[in-house]
Amino acid sequence: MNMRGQRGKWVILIAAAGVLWGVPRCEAGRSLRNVSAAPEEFHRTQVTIQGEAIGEPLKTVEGFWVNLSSEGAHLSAWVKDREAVDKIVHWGRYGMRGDRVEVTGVFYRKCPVHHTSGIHVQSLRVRERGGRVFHPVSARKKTGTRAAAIICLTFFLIYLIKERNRRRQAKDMS
Amino acid sequence: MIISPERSDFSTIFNILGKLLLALAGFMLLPLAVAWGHGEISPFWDFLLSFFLAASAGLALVILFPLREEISWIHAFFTVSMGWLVFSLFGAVPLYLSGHFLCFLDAWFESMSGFATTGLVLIQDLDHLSYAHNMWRHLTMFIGGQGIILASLSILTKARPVAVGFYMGEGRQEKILPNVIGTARFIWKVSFVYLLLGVTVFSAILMGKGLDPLKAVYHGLWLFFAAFDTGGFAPQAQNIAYYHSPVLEAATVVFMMLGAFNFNLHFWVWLKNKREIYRNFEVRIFLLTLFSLAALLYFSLKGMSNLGLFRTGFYQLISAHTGCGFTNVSSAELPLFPSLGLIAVIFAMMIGGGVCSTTGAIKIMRVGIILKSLLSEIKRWMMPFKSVYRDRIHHLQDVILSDKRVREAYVYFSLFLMSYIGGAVVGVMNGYPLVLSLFESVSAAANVGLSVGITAPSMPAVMKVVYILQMWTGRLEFLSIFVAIGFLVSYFKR
Repeated sequence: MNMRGQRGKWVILIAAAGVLWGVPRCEAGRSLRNVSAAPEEFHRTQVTIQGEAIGEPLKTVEGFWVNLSSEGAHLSAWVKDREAVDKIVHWGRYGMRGDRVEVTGVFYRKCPVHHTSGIHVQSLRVRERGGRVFHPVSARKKTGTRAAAIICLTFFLIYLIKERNRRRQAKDMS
Repeated sequence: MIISPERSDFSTIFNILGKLLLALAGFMLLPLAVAWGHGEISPFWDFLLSFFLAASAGLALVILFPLREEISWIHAFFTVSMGWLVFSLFGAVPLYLSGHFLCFLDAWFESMSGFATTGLVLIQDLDHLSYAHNMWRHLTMFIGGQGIILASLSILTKARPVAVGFYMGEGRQEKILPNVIGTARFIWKVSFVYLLLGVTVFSAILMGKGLDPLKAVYHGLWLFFAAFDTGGFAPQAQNIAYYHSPVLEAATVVFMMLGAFNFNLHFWVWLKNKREIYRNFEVRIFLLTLFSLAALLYFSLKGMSNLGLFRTGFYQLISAHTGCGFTNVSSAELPLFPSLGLIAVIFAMMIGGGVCSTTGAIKIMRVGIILKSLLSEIKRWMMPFKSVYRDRIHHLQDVILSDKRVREAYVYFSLFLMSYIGGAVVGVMNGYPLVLSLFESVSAAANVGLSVGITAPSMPAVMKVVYILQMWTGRLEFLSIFVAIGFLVSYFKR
């Protein structure tokens, strides 16, 4: 009984160690930044990452490339199905925050089909809808522009007057 | 005897700088119109403010410092070296106002990188940048690639007698036509023909990839600016990799090479003798260095398929050799290249393209002359003591390789080498590995723009300043800056 209990403890301990070892690796595989920063480490492994869909879907012969961005890092995901791509409504650009999507698939540092790095997507889910982003103009910027405009016009008038005087003087001299 | 500038000379210099600022304000009207056309309210105000600031500063200089004397060589060298600084500083204002930069230094870095056609970037969240700001980023490369002063020369009539001073000061050593203004206009004409061709080709490819027609035209235009002026900026953060198109990559290779070749060669092939392309010394040296370095890269990337070799290896190599800086791999992947491959890319960046082109770096002509002079030296040692030996090269016509030409080539070679090594030392002092520091330093000084990840908003400010200086001096090929400093020293020594 004692022996069995000891063995049980060891099993639990090893299982816990395995889980603890696997958690950061699994977490790393969930971060777009980690995967893009260490492409060699994740080459040919299954990853699940989240990122904002950027730009537009880019057509290839048999599918679409979806560019994803998160925390300043970027990765591309190759999606075969049109339907999966159609789930993305908002694509990130100026004035628009793209949908936040989660993709699961195999990451290739150098994919044998496309010869670039990217994830061959097995599943794609929209986690959060994007939408319009407004860029308000600050009052300081408006005031600064008006002040600069007044200064510029004043200088322009001075320049015109000086030029007229110079021409008049040149005419008198001749 | 060294010519020393008088106080009145500075009045003339500031007057020309004022006019150049007015020209810069004029260039800002294009992104202003784009912002207005697309209803980009905030960018519209950014460019309106920048326009008024540049125009006010320009008018103030013109009013306060009237042109009292004829423009001479002294003014030309000062104006060229200061002109690039002033352009980059004022050009940074709208970029900074966009809110995509951590500080003004970063915006200045980006602006200098654009005007110097380098392509290193510190911008954050590029994918959400407005059309107007993207237009400005790419326009800076077109203005810089064509030559800021050269651009203004075409309209500045009073500068004609010393136009050649401005022209040489911008790191161009060959005139195409006897008249420099004519040369400047020819370069603009050639550029506009290629622009039409490039935008059509790129837009068609991008529309095929699924971009809407207007966006495809914008991206086509910007990619043309970046490829032909060997700048390397792209409207998306992933650079060329964003588009996932081998066809687009192949098309950019063509325009990168067109931009990297001597404008004189374009002139000859267009208007005089098409066979020149086969006989030209620069073309032969370019092919020699390209194939030698491609062989090195091939051995380092052995085992890849042909398409993989082209996309992963050859594309970075040709981008480095032409000084463009387009890339289809991420900055995290580039350092993973085998050492031999990295060395090949570094050498390609060091060499650069043709003289009188839009590229920076040592230039293939000078590398060729140095190689030729080495061979000549060996031949001389093998000849009888009193024999006279003259070497020739064919560049548009048969030219005897004079000692003056060889000395000039060695001087520029040494200056660039010092800049490359100096920047690498600063990188190492800031804790970066040697090879990566050398890579980034060469990329900045040779105005290439490929990055192994060192160039980032988080890098030390001292390195940003060093890279700005490297981009500036490298673009102007040191000469006009050194001469301007020499004039300043002689003025204060009096």
